[in-house]
Amino acid sequence: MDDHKIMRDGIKAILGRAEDFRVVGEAETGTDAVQYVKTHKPDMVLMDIGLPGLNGVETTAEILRHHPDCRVVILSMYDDEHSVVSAVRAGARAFILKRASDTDLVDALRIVARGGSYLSPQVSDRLLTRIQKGNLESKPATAALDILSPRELQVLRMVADGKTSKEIAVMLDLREQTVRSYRKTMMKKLGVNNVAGLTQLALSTGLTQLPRGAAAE
Amino acid sequence: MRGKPDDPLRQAGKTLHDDVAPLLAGAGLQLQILRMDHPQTAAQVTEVLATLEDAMDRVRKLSQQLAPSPFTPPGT
Repeated sequence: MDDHKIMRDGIKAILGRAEDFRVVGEAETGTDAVQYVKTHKPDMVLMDIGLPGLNGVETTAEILRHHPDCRVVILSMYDDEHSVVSAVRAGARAFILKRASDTDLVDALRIVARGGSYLSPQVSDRLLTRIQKGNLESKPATAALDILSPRELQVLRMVADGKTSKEIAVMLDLREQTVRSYRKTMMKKLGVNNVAGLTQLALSTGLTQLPRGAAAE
Repeated sequence: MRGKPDDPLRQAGKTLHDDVAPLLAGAGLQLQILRMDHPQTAAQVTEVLATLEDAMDRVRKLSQQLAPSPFTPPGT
């Protein structure tokens, strides 16, 4: 599950050399991954955290909603604790840092396949240091949006990203009417009257960012 | 150094993270496969991988300074 073919090909080739793993499918977007998992129910999913559209954390939560026995392993360029905590909260069983040299990928997958969990050493070292210093951030990223449910936050981010109710319904496998209902509930909870207000709030809290290229406009 | 969402520096950080780093990581995976398949190249490949890893660490640090992960709370 990665939007970069060079990563998917590399991972497939490495796993192809490990006799105890079989790559049964691949996907480029979170939405495709959720659909694939619903149909094929793989034992494990390797998930890039930084996907366009549904990000890796949201996709993990969606996958586990449909296939709770699936073991999701996050691959990430980010090594900050916020990314790790978000992934673990979504249900990921492992968090592996993308590196150029020796990866711990195969070892980590074996641990997760046996029912364990795994953090890359660089990530666990950083987390331990933050815990020892007592300043590990444990609040969700968007304190101003605390009144929203996780599902509402997910819909809000997509609304702010410019997705229509129909598109969101397809991505989250919901009815379009349900998405409209989420939008209305969020507007009421947040005291805004329209989509522009929701978008502004999502941007100001950092829930989403302006699309690439928007800064030059 | 951390920019607002519409800051060009932030966009540069995102480009480093989303476009440049995955290419470096992908190249690293390919080199690892080369080393597995051709053990006689191990010494040279390991050396190239170390250089690549150094470049990747620098890209990772710079991209996170310019554009923190989307899971980072605002104001941190």
